[in-house]
Amino acid sequence: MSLKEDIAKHKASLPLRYTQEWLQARFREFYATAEPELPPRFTAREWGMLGWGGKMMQRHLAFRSEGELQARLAREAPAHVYHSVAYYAHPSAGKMNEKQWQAADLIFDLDADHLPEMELLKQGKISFGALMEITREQAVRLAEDFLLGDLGLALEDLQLVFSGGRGYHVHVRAPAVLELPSGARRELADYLTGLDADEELLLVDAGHMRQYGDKRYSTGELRLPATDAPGWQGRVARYASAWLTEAQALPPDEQLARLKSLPGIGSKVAKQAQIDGTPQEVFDALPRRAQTALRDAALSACAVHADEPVTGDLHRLIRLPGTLHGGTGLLARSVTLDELRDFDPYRQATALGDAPVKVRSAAKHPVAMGDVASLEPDEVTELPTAQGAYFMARGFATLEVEA
Amino acid sequence: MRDLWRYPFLPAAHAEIEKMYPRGQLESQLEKLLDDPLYGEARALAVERLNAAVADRMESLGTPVDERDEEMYLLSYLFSRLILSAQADTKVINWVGVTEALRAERTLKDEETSILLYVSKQLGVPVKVVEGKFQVHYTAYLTATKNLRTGKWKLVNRGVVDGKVMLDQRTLVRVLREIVVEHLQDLPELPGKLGKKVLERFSNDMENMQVMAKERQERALRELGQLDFGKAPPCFSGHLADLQEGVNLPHPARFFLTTFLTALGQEPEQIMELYATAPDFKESVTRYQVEHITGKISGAEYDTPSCSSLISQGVCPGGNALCREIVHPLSYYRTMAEREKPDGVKRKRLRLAAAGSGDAKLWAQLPLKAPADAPPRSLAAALRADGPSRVSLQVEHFRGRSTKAGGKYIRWASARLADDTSPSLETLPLTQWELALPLAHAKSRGESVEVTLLPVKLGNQSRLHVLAVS
Repeated sequence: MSLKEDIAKHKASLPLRYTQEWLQARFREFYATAEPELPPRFTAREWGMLGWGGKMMQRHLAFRSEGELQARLAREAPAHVYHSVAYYAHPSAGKMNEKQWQAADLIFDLDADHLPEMELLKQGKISFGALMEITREQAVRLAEDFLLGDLGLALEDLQLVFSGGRGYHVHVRAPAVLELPSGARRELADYLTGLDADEELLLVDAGHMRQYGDKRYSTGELRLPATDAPGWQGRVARYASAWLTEAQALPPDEQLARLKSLPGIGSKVAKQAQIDGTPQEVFDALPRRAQTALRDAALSACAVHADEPVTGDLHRLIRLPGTLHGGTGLLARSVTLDELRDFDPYRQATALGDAPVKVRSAAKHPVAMGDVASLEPDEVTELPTAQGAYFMARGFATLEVEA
Repeated sequence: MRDLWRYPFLPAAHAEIEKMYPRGQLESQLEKLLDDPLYGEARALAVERLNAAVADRMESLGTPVDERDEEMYLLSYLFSRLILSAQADTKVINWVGVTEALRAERTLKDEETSILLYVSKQLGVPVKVVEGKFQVHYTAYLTATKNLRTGKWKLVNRGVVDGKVMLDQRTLVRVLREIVVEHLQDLPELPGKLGKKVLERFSNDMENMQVMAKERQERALRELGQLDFGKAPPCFSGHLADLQEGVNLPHPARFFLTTFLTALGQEPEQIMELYATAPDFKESVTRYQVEHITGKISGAEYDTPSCSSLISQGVCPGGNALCREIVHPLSYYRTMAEREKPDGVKRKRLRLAAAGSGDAKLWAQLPLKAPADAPPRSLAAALRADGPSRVSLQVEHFRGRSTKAGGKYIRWASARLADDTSPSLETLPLTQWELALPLAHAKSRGESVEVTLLPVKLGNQSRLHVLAVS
């Protein structure tokens, strides 16, 4: 490489370097007074930190006191701070088997990247903000329907956390779950998605054998379970009942259209379908393909897509609440279930203040921070620090340095 | 509890023995007991326990006649554990675990509720009776069912309310069996002197056991039939095809292929040849790995991983309809080997799958194959025809099933086929999966499938139709 090229390359890298230094300086200011939310038994956990500019992860750290951790954060101002979900006898040992695993929190990770709706985002059908809303809504259902509902956990067993990035973490610390093996945890993740739901086990198989001429055949009838049936059976029943009740409330021609939206129902069957009566009666009279279609719709509407490898990992490192996310500049923070219902991370998880900072857009397309701020390509603009930091940390902008 | 000898693996049973030999003295006493002529009966019974398991026999061990005899039973269990520990043969340990657990399951099935509750509690699973059902915490359920997680055992199909899973008696007992098997893998560590003593005392019995074990393994290998990749599960076929196309397989997939082929009786040399096509093939490294896994170097032969490990290692590409009925890839292969069984065996298994309905003699007349060429007809016409017909049908319903008969599982499927000319046709049990799998495939894709129907009339039975799938 010629000297000229070398200098050009160096110059081109300067904005990035200044941006990174600026971000780290803001993080340092934050950590000078920050009080991270320490997990219980934090001395038995392994810690990890990631520096700026893709520096190697420091792992196998252990802290004996809160002060020790705070001092380290203030000194290094790392881009990312993690602790292990596991409790170890020797958290700072360099090898897994030397650490002596004792137990681990049960973790559910809802990440926008892992939702089926991510496909819609890629196709340009929904915005990133909308995807974050879907993620938040799943987090609420995860906590309310599945963890507090089906699993009977208490609110104080759960810590709900905005991850600082693209989703939410739920830490479960009820004593009964701490020693669950990996397979059992993965099975819980499967339960949330309704994976491998069996049609005859979810609907009530009311089929019986009938004689027809000299042959026997099964009537193969399926019925809707009671709306208070356990677990997914009840969930499917409630969804289908609500769907049918809503259809019943429509004017007659719209009712027909609604029924015809189910597969296996043509005009003839739709007209025949008995739309009067309880949702249960209507469902039981539907053709089988329509019944299973309603069941599948219920499954996808009620499913929660927590990332299975995270839930199954007994050694995972997870972001420490009360610290900043180096990829967004946002604060990973605990939220109550009530806060979560209308939580807006772009307003409620900012921590870097609103002193003005000038940034230059580096994105090739318009980018947005929720509905709080946006940036056009090549735009140079002044933003409050928290918003400027968001665009810079995500790599959408660089610091505009006065010549 | 009475009858503790039936469940000698419970902590209470062990406590019972310790009661006989005051605190801390059991270990020192054991060495003496091994030679004491008064305990010959317990020693013989211990060997019988193990032999029965190795020979895959499930008959009962008899019933103790009095209290002293009960003590012998308890001690025989303890001795059998000592032998297992000293012998340290993984496959024998596994066989014994399963047999002991099955034996316990058989009596538990008919026990009163109070005893079930007691045994559950002793095994570390607190159970409550609610409206005639057994209520178990989901964490205990999930931990105990780690090898079952398919079909009705999946939590999604069972339902959990307020942290509780409801089980009927049969299901609870099945769960307890799993726990017992797990529990029996944990063997006591013997102090060196005692271990030596056990090896000495039972050396003849152990040799005998090894001969039986070898016979059993050879028998199992014969069961698998000729090596035929057509019988292999999708996880094997897919990775093998990848390997042959030069895809660089991750280590867990290679480990699986190697152990699977070893279980099918392939020699390290033959396995090596398969890997020669791998892009990073290095003869010496591959040889070392293969020989290590197959036990040629390490002496420890590795077992083929079960479906649940393959899933968690990302080796499983997602199963087909037969995969849902099995928990181990070798069971898949064994089930597919059904087609190599003699016709008599096939008919018997068909009859068992049909829950013994109908006269055995009639089943014996059932043809097992429909002819390959037949005129195309609609279903209505085919059902009236006297000869075979080819029919294009929709699969309305397909379901794999497992029936246990004579200590073995029969995996079969039932299906309902239809076109729009006639009410649907319910198939006879399909025990041959090369017939069943295309039906399952057609069902999941909503495609129709070409089948040949052969009408047969057996005695006074209504007309049946034998099926062949192209």
